[in-house]
Amino acid sequence: MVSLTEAKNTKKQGQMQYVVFNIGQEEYGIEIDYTREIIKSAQITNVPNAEKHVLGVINLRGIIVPVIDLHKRFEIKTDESLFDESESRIITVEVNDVLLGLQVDRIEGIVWLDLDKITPAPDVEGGLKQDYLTGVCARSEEQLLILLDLEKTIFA
Amino acid sequence: MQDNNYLDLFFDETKEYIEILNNGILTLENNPDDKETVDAVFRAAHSLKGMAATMGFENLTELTHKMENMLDRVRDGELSVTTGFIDLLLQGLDNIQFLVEKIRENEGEEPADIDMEGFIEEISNFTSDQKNIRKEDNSESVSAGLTAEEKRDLLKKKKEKERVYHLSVEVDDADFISVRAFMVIKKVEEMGTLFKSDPSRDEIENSQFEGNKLDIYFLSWLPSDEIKVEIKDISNIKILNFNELESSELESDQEEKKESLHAEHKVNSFQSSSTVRVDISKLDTLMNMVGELLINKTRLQSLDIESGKFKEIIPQLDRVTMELHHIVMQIRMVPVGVMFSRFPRMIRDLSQKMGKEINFIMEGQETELDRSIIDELSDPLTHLLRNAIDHGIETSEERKQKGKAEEGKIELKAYQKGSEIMIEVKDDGAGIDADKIGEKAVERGIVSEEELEQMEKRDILDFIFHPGFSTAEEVTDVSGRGVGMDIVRNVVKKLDGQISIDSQLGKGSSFVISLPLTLAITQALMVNITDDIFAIPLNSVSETLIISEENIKKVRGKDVIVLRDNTIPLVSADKILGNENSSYVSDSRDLSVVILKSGDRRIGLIVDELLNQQEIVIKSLGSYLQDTEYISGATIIGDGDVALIIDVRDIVA
Repeated sequence: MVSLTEAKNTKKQGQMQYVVFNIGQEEYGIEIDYTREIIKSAQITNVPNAEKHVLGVINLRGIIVPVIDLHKRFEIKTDESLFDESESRIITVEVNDVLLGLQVDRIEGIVWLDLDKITPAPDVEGGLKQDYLTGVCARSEEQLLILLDLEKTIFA
Repeated sequence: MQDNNYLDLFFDETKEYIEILNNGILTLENNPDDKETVDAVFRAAHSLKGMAATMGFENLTELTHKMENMLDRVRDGELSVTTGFIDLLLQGLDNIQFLVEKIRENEGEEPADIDMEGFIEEISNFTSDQKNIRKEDNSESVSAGLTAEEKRDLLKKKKEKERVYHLSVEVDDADFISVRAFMVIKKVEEMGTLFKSDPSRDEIENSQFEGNKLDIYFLSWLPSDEIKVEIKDISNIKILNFNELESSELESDQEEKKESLHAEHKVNSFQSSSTVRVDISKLDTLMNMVGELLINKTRLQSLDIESGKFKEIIPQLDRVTMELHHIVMQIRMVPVGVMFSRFPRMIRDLSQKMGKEINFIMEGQETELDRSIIDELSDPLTHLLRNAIDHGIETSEERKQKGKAEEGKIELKAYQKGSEIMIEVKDDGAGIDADKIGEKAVERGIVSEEELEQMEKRDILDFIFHPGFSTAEEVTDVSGRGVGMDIVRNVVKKLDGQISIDSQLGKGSSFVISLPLTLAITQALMVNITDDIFAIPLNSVSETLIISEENIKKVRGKDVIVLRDNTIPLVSADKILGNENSSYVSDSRDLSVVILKSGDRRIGLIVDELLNQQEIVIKSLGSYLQDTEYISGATIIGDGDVALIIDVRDIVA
């Protein structure tokens, strides 16, 4: 378990902190202010009749927390060969007073991003729906970091 | 920004005082002479003023100050309690609530743009208006200057055939007020015994005489006309009032009763000082801790350790946790009267507005419910009551034509039935036309005509809770029920309760909300469904059965079992929990059936295996999964895993 409290409240002028993780081959980022903690995958209880992207619920120190599978949410095909269960994590986030877990394939780390380097998401055919994004950020030549709009990802 | 702790306390206490004011004012309306209530209302206004002043809310201070003054003048007998007076007080109360709400919205600052001047002036005008000022009424004020004890003394003397007189005089001689007054006292003492005078004899002798009026009670053997002549002889005084007191005027039964009531009140207020005000969130935390303890106790029990000491400790632990749970539940219980108390006012206002005569009866205010349920329940009940006034009760003329009593009746009752609390809203109004509801439901495509024909009246009436139904505006006219019934049902469902409806066309409707006594911990039957453990609250289980395939019969193509002459439909748990292809029938082995009940309906749920019975701590699935079909919550079982709780009402309904 990684505590994020120390990393929080460290907004710099023109910069913001993001938690970066992998789903499939893509790299995604969410604003650190939403995040509560990162936990190793716990025993997930399947919830029948819930929406498809809901993996189930976990017991987080006595609180029942629903866990969302971002693969299914974004309809990303899972490449089983890339999936390593020991690297899989659940990021708990609090959005609009709702506590949820996001299951991701791997945690990349926590990074500072220059706000002026964030550009609107390009309209890619067959790519992730633009609605779920706040923008993209080119961190290196080959990798584009996709920044998620958590409110829409979860509630839209 | 104000300190939050103080602000919370302020809101808490304001709420309490507003409630006292509300109840008090309404009581006064019916008993204008009830001094106790005037005092209580006065004190509440006074306390509110004090708190508002401490917090620096100027408008609120001014407003409560004015109301306090009004009430003070009633206490002094200067103003009488009239309808106008009550209306003004109620308006004042509305304004107080409005201001408090604004302060809350404004995070503890009184908004600057609110102007109460107009209303405050209205109060001033009212209190200075001569016609509202109480006329001095002699017959009433005769014995007013006497305490109960004094009256008793006088009554005793009277029984010994002595006469009791009351005399009040005004001294005209401004220079020698004390001298003249003393002359009156002297004269009285010549003719009999001075019993009491205001100002007192000593004050007059020492010239501490304020004003020019003298009030005397005295005893004498002489007849009244002789005394009157003697007193008239004293120069420079004017007799304002002189009469002999009758026994009846000295009867102090009433006074005594009030005194004893007073004594009771004193005891009460003394007792209440032994209570503690606790933040509800602390109780929630306590509740959660007890829940955790319970879960761990269950885990410990499941360890199955072969040790004498272990076997000894477990029952002890069991007992302590049970008791702890019980006490925590009790602490959280609040009488429903706390919530009910706002309704008489609402009914009064609404019925006045709509020109309907309504007799509103409340029962069972002392029935207790979990605090969190009470907070949530206020809105749905408000809605039901509004509907009853708005659409249920007819106008006086209509009622007359129908041969009903002109005054409509709305009852709000709370009572306990088994492990559930029932809250009933009943009116004797127009009722709901099930046929029209059915027609509308078909029209809206909620149900097909064929299906409708098969349905019982009760099920048809249930359509008014259907979201697609009650959002339709014209329903108001058709069904005699307003919009938003689906919201009412949703709130009730969220509280793990259910609502049912019964209506007789032309005779009235009744809505019954049933709620679990406690929300958090309950006994449950654990079952296995496709390798997952689920909990079924025991209060919705009527029995469990093991049946074989040949017990299953078909009725209209659906599987049922016949149990003691009752036909009970069967459903497969596997199927409703998402496995469409499930078929228990092809299985040759015996089937485990849980007979579920909700209200008077029964349904048989086929599960894979009946496990044990245990206490579970009910946890919410949170707003994200709240609407999941057939699942009402979750609990944590012995190994720390999550088990889902089956929503019996969803299945049976």
